[in-house]
Amino acid sequence: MPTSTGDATDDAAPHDWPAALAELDARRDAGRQMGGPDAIARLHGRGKLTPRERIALLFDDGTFRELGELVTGSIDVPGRPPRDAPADGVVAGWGQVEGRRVVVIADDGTITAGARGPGGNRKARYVRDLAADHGYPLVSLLESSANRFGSMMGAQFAGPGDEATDGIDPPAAEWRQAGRSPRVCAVLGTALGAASFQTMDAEFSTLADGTAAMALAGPPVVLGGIGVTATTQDLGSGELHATATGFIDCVTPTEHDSIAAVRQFLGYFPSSSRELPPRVRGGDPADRPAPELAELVPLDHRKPYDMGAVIRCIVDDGEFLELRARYARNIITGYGRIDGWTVGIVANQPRHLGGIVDTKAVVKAVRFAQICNAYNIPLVFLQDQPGFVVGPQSEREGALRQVVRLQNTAYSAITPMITVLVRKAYGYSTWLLGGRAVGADHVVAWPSASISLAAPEIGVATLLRSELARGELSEERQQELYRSYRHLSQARWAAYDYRIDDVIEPQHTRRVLADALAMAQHRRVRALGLRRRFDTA
Amino acid sequence: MSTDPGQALTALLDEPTSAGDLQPMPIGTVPLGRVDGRPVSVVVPPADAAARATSVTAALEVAARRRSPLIVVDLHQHAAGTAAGAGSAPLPLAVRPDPWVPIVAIGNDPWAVAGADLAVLIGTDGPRARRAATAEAAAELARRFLANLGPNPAPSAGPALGTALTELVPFETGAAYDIDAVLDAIVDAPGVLALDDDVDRGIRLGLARLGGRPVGVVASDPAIDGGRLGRAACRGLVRLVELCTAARLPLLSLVDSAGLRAAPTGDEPTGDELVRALRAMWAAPVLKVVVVLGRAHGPAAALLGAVGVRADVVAAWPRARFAGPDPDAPPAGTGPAFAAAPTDAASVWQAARDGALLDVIAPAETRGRLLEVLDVYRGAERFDRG
Repeated sequence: MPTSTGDATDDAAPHDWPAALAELDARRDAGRQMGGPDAIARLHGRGKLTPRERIALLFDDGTFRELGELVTGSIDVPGRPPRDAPADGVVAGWGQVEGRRVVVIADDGTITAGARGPGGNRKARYVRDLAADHGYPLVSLLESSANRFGSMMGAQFAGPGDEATDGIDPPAAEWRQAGRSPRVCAVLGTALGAASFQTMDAEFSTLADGTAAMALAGPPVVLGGIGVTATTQDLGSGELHATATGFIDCVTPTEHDSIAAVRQFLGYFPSSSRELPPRVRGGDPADRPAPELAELVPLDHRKPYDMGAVIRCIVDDGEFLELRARYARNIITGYGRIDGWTVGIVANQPRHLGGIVDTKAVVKAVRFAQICNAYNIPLVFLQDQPGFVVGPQSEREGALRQVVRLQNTAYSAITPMITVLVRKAYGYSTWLLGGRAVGADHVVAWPSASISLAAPEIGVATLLRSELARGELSEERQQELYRSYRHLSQARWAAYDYRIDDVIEPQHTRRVLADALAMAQHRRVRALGLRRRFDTA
Repeated sequence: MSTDPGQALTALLDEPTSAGDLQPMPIGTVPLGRVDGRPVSVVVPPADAAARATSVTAALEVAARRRSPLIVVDLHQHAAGTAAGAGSAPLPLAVRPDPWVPIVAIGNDPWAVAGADLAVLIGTDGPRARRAATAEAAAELARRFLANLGPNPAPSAGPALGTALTELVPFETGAAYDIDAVLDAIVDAPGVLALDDDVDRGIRLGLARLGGRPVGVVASDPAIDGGRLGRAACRGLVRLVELCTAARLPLLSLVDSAGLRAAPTGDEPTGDELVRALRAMWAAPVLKVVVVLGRAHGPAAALLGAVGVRADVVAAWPRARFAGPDPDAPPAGTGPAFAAAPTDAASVWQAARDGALLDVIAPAETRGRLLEVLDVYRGAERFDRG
């Protein structure tokens, strides 16, 4: 049987097959006990799950294969007797999500609050290399994911040396995997330092609100460094990341919801950039008309409506995984399906700031578009926006830099882009959010759409500013000019010139998108395996 | 001794072929046949040494262009040494086709088949070759070889032997057992096809299928000098690794070796031979899957992939023991891909605690785990690390 301090001696070792196989079973069982019943009860008391419970939620039943199950670390604190760390604080292996293989690394919160030992780190690196080399999604169920403090004290912190012997976990594999196979981080504990970097870099992230937090550094370091007392929730709560930073894609009420979101995300994605996303056709017909769309969207451009409701009318079975929903609410990003094809949807939200494209909205859209581009996921744009926000505050926020990021992302994208102009399509942002100018495959407009450099009011104010200043432009003349510009902005003029592909009835939007997606398949196949890097956050 | 190439070809090819159609064959004429439905190029070179070299060289180019295996049937009685090529001409089969295609040579002169991936000699012996009594037997060897190099998984027939591995292998480490039976219980029927009759009897080197997927197989034989490896084993290992690399086959290694052959047997590997073999194993870009069945001692453990050569997967049975050249000394080298240096040579449990092994597995789990690993690692497909 395993001992608390190491291995059985040769004298105590089994001497026949039945005894050896019984010992193997006993050692595996011991590893599965994690930190023991008391530690598990404490974890449950805090509303949290063990790594094995989380993995059971993540994978299809009976598909998890644990690796390095017998690895055992040692918890050494000066002045205390050493203790065993079953699995060295890391449960790792592979399993299946909806029948497709996924690699997992799960920290064990029952052992030193989820901190890893050297053996646990080596396991994590092994499965991460497996995912990076062979193109599997990697799911990290993060508890703390830091190294055990004691094991990092001293000059070995200078950096990785002998990969086979030290416990330091360099991010090289993370970098290699970027844009090749999806990396998913579920923050289920306190993710500080390396764990937060990993989460920032992931293609998808979730955080369980209330029981988890993410920050660059924790309370002791903050207190010691700048003398400020703060809790982990002060530094990186779910609320903070949902609304202020937008760093987390889905902040969920519970761990169960976080893991469900991970499964949903994986269902939309290919295992790697060498593959197309899986096509999952349900019972929702591609040519299903949606007459309610015309009722949802007012013709009056000044009246708000919920673009989220429009999206749910268009996608298969109304299912849509919205990302960063409470950050930059004037733009919506998320994944859905149309006729079974995975699509990434970028849509202006007129209900917030009139759908204007501000700095935060660009940050949100750029990151999302880059990920879709890397994984051969077609982008569907639903435009109803008055252009980029302008003004002193926007300039101070570095709007120019973000506009150029969006510009470079849009012009370099090789994944199919299909665009529906719903109402307002004004300014340079009309081009960059899936316009024909950036090579969109298909651009259609509803009859309610207006296309122009600027709204009529802005056009008049700019072109005739001298007359306006001198009071030489009557109200009647202004209204006449507005009517004239509105007339010239009607989408049909763009269709007459073949600057857009068509003007369509709103109720047929889903069918038009499904046809365009089918037409775009050859482009996606040609682009398989081409590496398209993206930047972070 | 057979001198009729048509006899071997008729036995090998799917469509009956008459000797008259194939011999003598004009230079540049490379008929396309099929073996078990798979296209192959065929050349029957003329007797003249110079014309023979030209004919084989031309056939290699054609086969590479077609990306089909090349079958060379050369049953002429060559004057001593002339099969090596006319004058200063090199052995034509020493040239590697680009892109690589497998070469099977059937002949009765060792020089005429030298350099082939599978060399079959009818009625005679030679280095790095299989011996066949008849043309039909030679054809059967060629057919099995090509079947094991097939690019696609084939339906699996299951293992040839259904006996439990714990019945085949005594628990006591160091005990002798029948490694061929162990292989038959793990790989698909009809078992491992050896590449060479002349190789060290203490090692098995060949091709097989596992769950329908082709794999290269190396296994030490604990019944022969404790599975110690000699110089022929080192040379054979290099050849197998080269073949697996060219054919992009995963390499399965079963380890139970007490180390290297020692002086004064005369078969002890030189330092150069040892380094060449270690380097080949270390650098091979193919999936390397290792199961330590018993002893993994000294440099033999590294040669067979158990330690220090970047194996992708290393698992061990509970009876396994790691040790240095002297079993009482600390182990040589560091661990495999996910590994610390084992600190306690004697214990598989300690190696597992330290992460020097991916897992300790029961013998009954072996075939299932190997099938899973081949599926997970998808053969040799990898993203480059750039």
